[in-house]
Amino acid sequence: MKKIIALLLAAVMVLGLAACGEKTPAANETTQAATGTDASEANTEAPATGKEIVYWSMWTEGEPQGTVIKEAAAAYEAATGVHVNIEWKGRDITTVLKAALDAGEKIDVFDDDFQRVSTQFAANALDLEEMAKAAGYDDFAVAALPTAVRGWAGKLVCIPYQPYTSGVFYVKSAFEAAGITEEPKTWDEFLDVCQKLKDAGYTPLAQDDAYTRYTFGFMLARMIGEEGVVELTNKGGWSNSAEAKQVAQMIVDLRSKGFLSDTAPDAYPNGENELGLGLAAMVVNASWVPGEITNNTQCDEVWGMFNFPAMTDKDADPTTVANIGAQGLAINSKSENPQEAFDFIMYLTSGEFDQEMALASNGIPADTRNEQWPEMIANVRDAFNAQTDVYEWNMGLNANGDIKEGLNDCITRLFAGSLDADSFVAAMDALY
Amino acid sequence: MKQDKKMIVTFLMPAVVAFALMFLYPVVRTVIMSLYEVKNVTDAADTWTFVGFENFITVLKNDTFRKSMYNIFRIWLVGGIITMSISLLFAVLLTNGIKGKGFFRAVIYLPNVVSAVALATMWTQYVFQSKYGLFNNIIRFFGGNAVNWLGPDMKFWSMLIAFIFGAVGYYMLIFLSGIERIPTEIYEAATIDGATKGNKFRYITLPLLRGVFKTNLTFWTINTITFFVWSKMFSPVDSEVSTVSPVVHMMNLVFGGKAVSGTFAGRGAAVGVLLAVCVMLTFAIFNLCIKDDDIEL
Amino acid sequence: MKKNNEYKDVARARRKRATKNFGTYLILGIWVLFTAILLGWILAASLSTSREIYTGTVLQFKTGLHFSNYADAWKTQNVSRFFMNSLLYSVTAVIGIQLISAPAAYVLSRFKFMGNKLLRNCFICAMSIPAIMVVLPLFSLASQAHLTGTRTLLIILYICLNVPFTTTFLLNFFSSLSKTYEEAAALDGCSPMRTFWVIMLPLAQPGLVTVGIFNFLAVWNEYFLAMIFASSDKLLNVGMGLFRMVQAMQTTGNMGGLFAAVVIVFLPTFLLYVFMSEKIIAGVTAGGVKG
Repeated sequence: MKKIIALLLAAVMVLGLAACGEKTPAANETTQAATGTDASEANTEAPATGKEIVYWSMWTEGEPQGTVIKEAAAAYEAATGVHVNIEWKGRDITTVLKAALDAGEKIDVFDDDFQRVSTQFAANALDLEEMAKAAGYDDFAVAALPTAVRGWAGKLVCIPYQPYTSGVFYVKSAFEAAGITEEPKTWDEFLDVCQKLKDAGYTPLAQDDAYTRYTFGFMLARMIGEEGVVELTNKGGWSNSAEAKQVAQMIVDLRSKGFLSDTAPDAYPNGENELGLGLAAMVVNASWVPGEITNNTQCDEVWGMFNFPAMTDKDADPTTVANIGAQGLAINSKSENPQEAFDFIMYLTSGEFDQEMALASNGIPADTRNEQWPEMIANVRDAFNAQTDVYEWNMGLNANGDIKEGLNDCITRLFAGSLDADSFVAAMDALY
Repeated sequence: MKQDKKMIVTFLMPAVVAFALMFLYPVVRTVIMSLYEVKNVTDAADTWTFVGFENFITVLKNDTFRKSMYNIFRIWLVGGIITMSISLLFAVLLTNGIKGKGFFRAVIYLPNVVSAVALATMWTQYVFQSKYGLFNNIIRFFGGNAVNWLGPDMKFWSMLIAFIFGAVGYYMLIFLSGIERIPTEIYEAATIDGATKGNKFRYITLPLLRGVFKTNLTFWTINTITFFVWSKMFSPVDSEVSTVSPVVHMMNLVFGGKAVSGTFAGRGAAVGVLLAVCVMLTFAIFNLCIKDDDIEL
Repeated sequence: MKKNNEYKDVARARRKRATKNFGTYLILGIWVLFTAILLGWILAASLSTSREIYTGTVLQFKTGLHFSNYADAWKTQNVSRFFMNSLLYSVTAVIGIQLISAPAAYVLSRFKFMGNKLLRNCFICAMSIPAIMVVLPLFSLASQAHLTGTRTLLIILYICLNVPFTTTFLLNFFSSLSKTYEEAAALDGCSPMRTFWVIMLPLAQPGLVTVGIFNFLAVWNEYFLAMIFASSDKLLNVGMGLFRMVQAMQTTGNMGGLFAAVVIVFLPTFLLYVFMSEKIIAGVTAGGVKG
């Protein structure tokens, strides 16, 4: 085995050296050779430093994000001479990262969902406050995101990128066909819109099984706030909550009025895809959904978005509160090259490559100086900029890990019509 | 014979080392781990805190774990009866002296060589799809009402159907080899005595297949207890009550699931030990109840 | 007269048999048809667009055959890499398993010594230990040894974890071989070790091939260990690679490419199966009966 590896390495070395001609081989040959090939193409080449940072990425190479990251790493290397060694881990990074960090694996930069990084991995992450200050990070960041990180971890342990926001996304052509000109702001207006859409032959609201907690959480959090949801989730007492029962009844009504598809909640992503197939009109989801549906169904719909409506007059939260989130890039506290790692993160999360990332993945730029939003989510912009506060993913329903599956099951059954409002709250309480 | 000793040692050594390193040591360590509070799998043993059977109590009280055990119990019992019946039926049909036996046998076993990930994707995206899926198309063709196969009420059964379809071929082969080992003279003698096909099956084939049944049930038990890929594939985003299996729950405990709640390697080890105990118990019951001394296989 | 009756009886028996077999063919035929539809759909889906797959119009090919799915899967989605990894794991594991198991099985089947019975039982027990009982300590062992994220680790695991089954299988195979070969070799002054390598191992070839194919398929489609131990994209085998692709569908939305990948991954095992199905089936039944 070792021999094979040695042979391969030798082969790579020879090829690399041949490609960059007369370059003198140094101690760290493979890195040098690679640096040489890239640098020889660019005129403004930086001297190779022989330094290398290792980045464990939550993306896979074939994804659009992966492509942009690769470009950014190459450009960073050309500019600074620091080679970025990217290990594509995919979404299972959550599984392997903790063990790898604790075992002292050589990792400089890693990323995952920014909440997970700020909670589970905070102990392994370097405090970035100093470096962020020096780089003027807070001047161009989407303020809510670093605020959330500091709220969880007590300090800036990661740089959020690829932000998303949430609300109700809809197909503009469906609204036009149904003669709807005003986006609904309250639940009653929302129901009116649903009725018009239904009359025009659309399934008003698509709902996938993976997002039942998301819709339910939005409704409940509007009424009692995220803390209220967390309290209920942790301690139970659903039967005693008038609001919980009311929300459950609203969902039952959505079903009985025919505002949900017969097969709702559909197996992800069949529900949301109906928007792209001209069957359904709206979906409660996050800002990646237009891109996702467009990819899945190759449709050319124009997308609209409005804030999740107000439920009652006595709501705890205004409609300008939504779930926003991001991925977070962190630096291993054991990293030997923290400044280089931070510079690379900045390279990726601001300026040119942040812009490119937003466009390639149909996402929102993390750098507020980047003016260009992908066309698909252009009208998310106003809502995003007007946001006043932030919900966590599933608006507090994830707070209790012990009953996670059971809670999800009850809510899914509620949407499926196999539970009514009373049996729903009873089933929820039975979990405790 | 001196040389034999050297040969025995050199020939056996690698296999014994593999066994000790990959089975003996890990099993012992998992059992010990289940009695300690361990956060991460990789934590060194001196950071563990002894908690007695607390891990087991926490796990047994956990709602998701109970539901996952209920799921695999249903898979084991209902799925077991159906799989064994179909496999046995096919094995008997194939030994009836029909033409194209080799072809049928090969096709029925075929799903076993396809990656389960591929098969499961096909089932969820095509066969069970609610709007245009194969099953609902067939139902509508006969004028029935479409079923929401992947809805919360049906998902478990859909998963079970897909799992059984893939499993039948394997168990059929084992039955088949068992039937083929029954000496033909016995059947010939029975035919002369005027026994019907049904009688021959009831009084010759079934009793003589007892040993094979035990083998099949043993394999079925291990396969159900370690049920994992299908569960993952039928709920790819996050684990769900209808499809969760103990191994999925264990992986969530050890490596942390989607919900942010930390890792509990000790509890994961306890799940492993509980499952191993289940395996041992069922084997003990099989050994007590099914004697396979009738025929030397 | 009598002859005529006899003839009638034969005809009736034949008719009866035909109707009875008709039922058999019907049942088997439906099952085979169903299998063919499922696998056929996968093939059709691999040539379709995502939209066609999501709208159930796969078998109509309205937009033509999209062979580009295959190129996309092979290059962009890195199926070529998963494929090569699986090939590497399967081939090296099969060779490694044989090298460890065959000598052990031979010794256990031929020599009487203390602990022989115990060892046999140990291997049989190990076959019934669920993998979940061993993965946690193996994971921490591997990270202590800094083997995580290497192909070597996966190969070691695939070899060692298959040794008990293979040893048990080959043990029974060696037991069925006649001892006269060794006796003749001993008379010719051939040492027992040499006898094994030169005479017995070639004789055991059918058994080695059977168990080899069986292990090949098992490692090729392996999923659970790869999920835990193949942490990096570079190490993924086809089973886990496909699963990652399913997960990444969220952002790529390329269902046609996914099914093209499925077909690519399926092909080698299918070809192996078509040409070797007798051997594979022999492996299942022999392995099964001894379990």
